[in-house]
Amino acid sequence: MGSIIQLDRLRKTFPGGVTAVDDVSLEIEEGEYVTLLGPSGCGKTTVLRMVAGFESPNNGSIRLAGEDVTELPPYRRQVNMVFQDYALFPHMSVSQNVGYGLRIAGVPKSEIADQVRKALDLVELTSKADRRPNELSGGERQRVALSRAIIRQPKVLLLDEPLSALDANLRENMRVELRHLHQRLGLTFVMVTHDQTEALVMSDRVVVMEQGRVAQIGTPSDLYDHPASTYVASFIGVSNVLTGHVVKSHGEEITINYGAEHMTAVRNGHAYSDGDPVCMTIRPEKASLLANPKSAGKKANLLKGTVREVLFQGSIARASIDLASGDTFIVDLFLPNTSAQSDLPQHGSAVTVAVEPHNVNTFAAEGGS
Amino acid sequence: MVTIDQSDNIAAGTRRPLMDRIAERSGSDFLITLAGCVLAFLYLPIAVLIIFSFNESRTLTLPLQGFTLDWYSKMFSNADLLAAIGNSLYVATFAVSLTLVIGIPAAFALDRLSFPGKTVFRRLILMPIALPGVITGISMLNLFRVVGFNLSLETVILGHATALLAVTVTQIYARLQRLPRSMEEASADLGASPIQTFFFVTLPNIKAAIVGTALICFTLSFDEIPVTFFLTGRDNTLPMYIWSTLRRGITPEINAVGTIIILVSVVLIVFSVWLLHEPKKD
Repeated sequence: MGSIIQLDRLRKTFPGGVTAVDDVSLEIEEGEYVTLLGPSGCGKTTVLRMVAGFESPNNGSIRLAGEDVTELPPYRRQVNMVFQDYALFPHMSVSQNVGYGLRIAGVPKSEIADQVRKALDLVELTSKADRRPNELSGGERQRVALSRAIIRQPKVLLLDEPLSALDANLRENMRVELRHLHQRLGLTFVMVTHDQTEALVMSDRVVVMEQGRVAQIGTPSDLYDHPASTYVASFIGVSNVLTGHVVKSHGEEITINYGAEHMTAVRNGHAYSDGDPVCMTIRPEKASLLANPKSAGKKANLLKGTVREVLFQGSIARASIDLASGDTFIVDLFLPNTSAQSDLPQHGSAVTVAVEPHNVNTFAAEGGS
Repeated sequence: MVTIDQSDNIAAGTRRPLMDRIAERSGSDFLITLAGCVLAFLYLPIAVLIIFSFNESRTLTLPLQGFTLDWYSKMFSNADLLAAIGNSLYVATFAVSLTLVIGIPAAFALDRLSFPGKTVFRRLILMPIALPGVITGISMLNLFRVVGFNLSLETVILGHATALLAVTVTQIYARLQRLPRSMEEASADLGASPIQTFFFVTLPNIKAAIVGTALICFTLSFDEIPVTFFLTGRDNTLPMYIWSTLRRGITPEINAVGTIIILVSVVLIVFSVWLLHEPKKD
């Protein structure tokens, strides 16, 4: 399996001086489902549009299946796109929309009709083949856009915020449907979204972008368990972020001075020297609250604090703890057998937070803070 | 319970102060009268013109003296009049063609390209709308004198096309602005060259706007006097002919021509409004 898309040091500056994409390099394997994730204005859509050919980079190159397509116009590239607003042709019926790509390619009419039927079948829209786009619901339009984009069997399918125009229920269904479609077709999918859940649920790999640059690339669980910066940690899920200094490294473990305490973390591929400032991120569900510090595991890090508030959320309760260091620490308490609120820690009570070393993710602190 | 509720309502109705209801009533009466006056102001003259075109009497005085179609048959045997109608059709047809040929690319340029001085370009194109026809007429007359053109129907065509350019560009540009660019991108994405995209996607979506604009421009050119007045040679267009015969007094024959012009204009305008009307928003 070679890589199907190779982006090499892409840079795009718009007239007016805004650099939307700054030195982005990325390799995407054939058959992968890759998501570009980031807030609006982070350059993710511009990257997608450069792959499609709607924008040309000021610098860098785009290779598609080994061929340099940087200078090719969109209609010469074997990629197809599902647009955020679907961009269906209002003057054509559903089947004319879906068959447009084949008609342009000069495919004989009977074969077009055949393939259109198959493509509409795939998205369960055969009964609406003669409707106009404005007679369809949002979800149906989205599926028309999908089948129009896959009918030419592109090497890569680009999806620009494909679910953003749908309402919440439909969006959840379509997440699963898109994932299934990806498995069935075996095409490479590249999607852009600002929705972290969407990215985590649907993709094989996620590219988190920040201000035109790649902040981190990894599998959803990589990004969740081992974020490489505060930005990624806070963009995906909820994290406790603590800063300290490396005191000592020994083998796979490092000891970090945090406030008045010493904490142990797993190195996880990072190299630190003694005295380096370091950030620790800990997910709320990977810490626990102990009434009695003695009951903790041998290696667990223990942080003393007092309960500020506990929010009951059904299957879990989220506790905010004021640590001795002054930071606030969030712990999720699982309530498998009891939902009695009286069992939850009370405001003001002294507790100990316990975190196993392998649940402490570290990275070099940015700047001084 | 129910009966009590009802009596309550009735009581509330009668309890409302009488003066309030009178004021409300006369207020809406006043508005209806006002609206009626406005309509009368606009359409009474036209109604008079149509009615007198069927009136037997030669003079335009009441009372009416019986129904006749004489004025219409007279009109169709008047060679000068028919020539003027022919000239007007000739001018309108070519003025509209010329303004479309220049206006459509200009609208595309405004919508698609970014070039230095674009705002100035747009303002300059739209200016003739605000400019009185007299000014357009005089300035073009001067220009043709300087260049050495002889005045003819062709110079009138140039004048009309110039004056109508503002209308054309505004209408087509407005349509292009509402056309999502992603639609053309989708076409390119699906393998269509720019020319294919233009004919398969762009043109079908702006076709109605083009035809509608052409119809509006046609009626505007057909009725035009100020620019024509300055730029025509020996040949007269219809409005010019009517105007020149009016100096010898209004004849019912003119009323007949007027009635026919009104009829044709209304049909064209209704048709163009229908074409320019957006299809149901999706």
